Amino acid sequence: MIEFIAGGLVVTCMVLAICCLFLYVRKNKIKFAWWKWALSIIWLLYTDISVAFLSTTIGENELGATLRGGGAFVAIAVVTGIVLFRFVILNKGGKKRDA
Amino acid sequence: MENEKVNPSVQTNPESKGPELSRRNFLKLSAASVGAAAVVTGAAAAGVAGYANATDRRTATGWETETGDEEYFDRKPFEVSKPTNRVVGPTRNIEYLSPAQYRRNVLSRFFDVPEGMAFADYLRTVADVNNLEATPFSIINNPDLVKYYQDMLDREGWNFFAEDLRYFLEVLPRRTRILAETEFDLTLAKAYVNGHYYLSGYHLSRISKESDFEGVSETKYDVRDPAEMTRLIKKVGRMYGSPIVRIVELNNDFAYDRCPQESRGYTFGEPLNIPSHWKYGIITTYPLSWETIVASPHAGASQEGYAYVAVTDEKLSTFIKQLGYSARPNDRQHNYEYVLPPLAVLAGVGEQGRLSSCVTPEFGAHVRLGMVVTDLPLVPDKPIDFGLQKFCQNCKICAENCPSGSISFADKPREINGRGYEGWPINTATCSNFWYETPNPTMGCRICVTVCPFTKRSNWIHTAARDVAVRDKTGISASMLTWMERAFYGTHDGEYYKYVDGSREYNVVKEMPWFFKTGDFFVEPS
Repeated sequence: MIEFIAGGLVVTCMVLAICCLFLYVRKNKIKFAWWKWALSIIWLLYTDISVAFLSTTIGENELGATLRGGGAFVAIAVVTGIVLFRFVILNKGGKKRDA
Repeated sequence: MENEKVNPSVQTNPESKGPELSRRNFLKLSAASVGAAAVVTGAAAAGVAGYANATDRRTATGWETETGDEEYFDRKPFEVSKPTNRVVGPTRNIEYLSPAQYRRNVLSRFFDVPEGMAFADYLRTVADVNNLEATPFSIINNPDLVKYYQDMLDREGWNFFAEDLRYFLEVLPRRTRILAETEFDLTLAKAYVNGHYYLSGYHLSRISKESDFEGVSETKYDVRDPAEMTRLIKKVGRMYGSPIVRIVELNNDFAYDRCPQESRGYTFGEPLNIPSHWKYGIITTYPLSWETIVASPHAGASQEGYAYVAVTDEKLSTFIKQLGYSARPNDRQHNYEYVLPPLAVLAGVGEQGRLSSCVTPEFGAHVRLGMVVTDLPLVPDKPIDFGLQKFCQNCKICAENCPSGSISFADKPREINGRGYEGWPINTATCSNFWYETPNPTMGCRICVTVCPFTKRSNWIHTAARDVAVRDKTGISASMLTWMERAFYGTHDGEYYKYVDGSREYNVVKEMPWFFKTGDFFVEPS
């Protein structure tokens, strides 16, 4: 049961995060092409899967997989998250759409 | 004041005590904050879901019984007309002398052992104990055995005679020492496994050459539709505890040429005349418990699966006999006329892997097989191809982990043992010897079965990985998953598992389960 509740929460939070991103780009008048939406959604999915991998390997008592696999996945999620936010969402140096 | 820069996001209300956000910026900030919170909460929830899934008993294997209508893997899209272990030459039966353990049980008969002399003592007088490989076949008085040994030597380069001698002269004496020093540590493991043996004598006593028709109902109805009968048998088989039930049309290539041991009403070496009324085999399966298989090779045993599958076979045989048709179980506790893995491959239970066992797409290699032969009209299932041959060509983890070096590293499968079928050869003599060189009271080792990447828990990670691997025809994801298996989960070389005499340390695939740790429950006598 807890898997279903947590799974529902994951989906809800993803939808909420996407809605917030939508609001953010609208209020900031940021030009947001379809591929930026795609990248953002993929990053969200990847991050959730990485955290789920980390906790699953803890749950199955595979410490090596937690440290090596989970660690690598989460590190990649953090780095790509920073890159995504800095250069894609904030669009530093890019164009803003017309008001 | 003229030069003072004004932050456009902060407006000063003359009536208020400090700066305040504009509505627009409040919304921006709110969106960013709530978005960030949603990302963190979502990730945390994913973590909780993953942990809950991993610790859920249902994601461990070994419980999948009485499942009702559905198998755990839809084989339909993977069905093919011919099995992936192809016929590449003239086929023949399996030699009755090929099962190493059965052969060794009767080996003393093939030598002129003086009366009253122990077999091992006799061998010390005739074999070159410092170089067992050099012992001539001429001391054997059975031409079938000489031919078998010579064939294996010529074909594979394996001296099974030397390995059999090593079994009697080195392995068994060492085993006696190992069992004595590890007896206390493995008391619980031994007791647990022996619990599974409790019906084995009973099962065997029910089988004879005529037992197919014993207890068969006098009333026999004609089957309306063999396809519907197949559906019924699969349903009942699953309700009797087999998560996979498949039908095979019997292929006598996979029967022994003669009886490999005295059982089922046969004497040793008696020709096995397969009755003409045997038409179909109903393949049954039982996965071993995940908790015990990860203690391979030093604890746990295949009897866990064999015991359950024998009960299923007994029930299924009785069910069929009640309908007026003949039935006879073939499984470890009832013994066999047939070798089951190739028949299971024919029935589409799985494919034959590098480790030579039948590897299933949902449980990997750690299922134990049974079969009920019958004349009940049924429709045979098709074999399946879920890409295992290609996967095994690249993987080789089982071969790397094998302590006795019995599994081939060859890239491609080839014709094996002169039987006309393709596969990867297994040195059964060295394999069997290692079983006895573990402290496992009921014999090791099952390492290959346990480390196979298809043998994993059924949580979301491994289920998803298996589902992707079997559907990606390019083999890229299979290579990637094998790499991840090595890099993340880690593997060992064979040396890691070898017991060091006197150490009382047990290097197993994962960990010894808590319920096998005798010292936590009993006081060791000093």
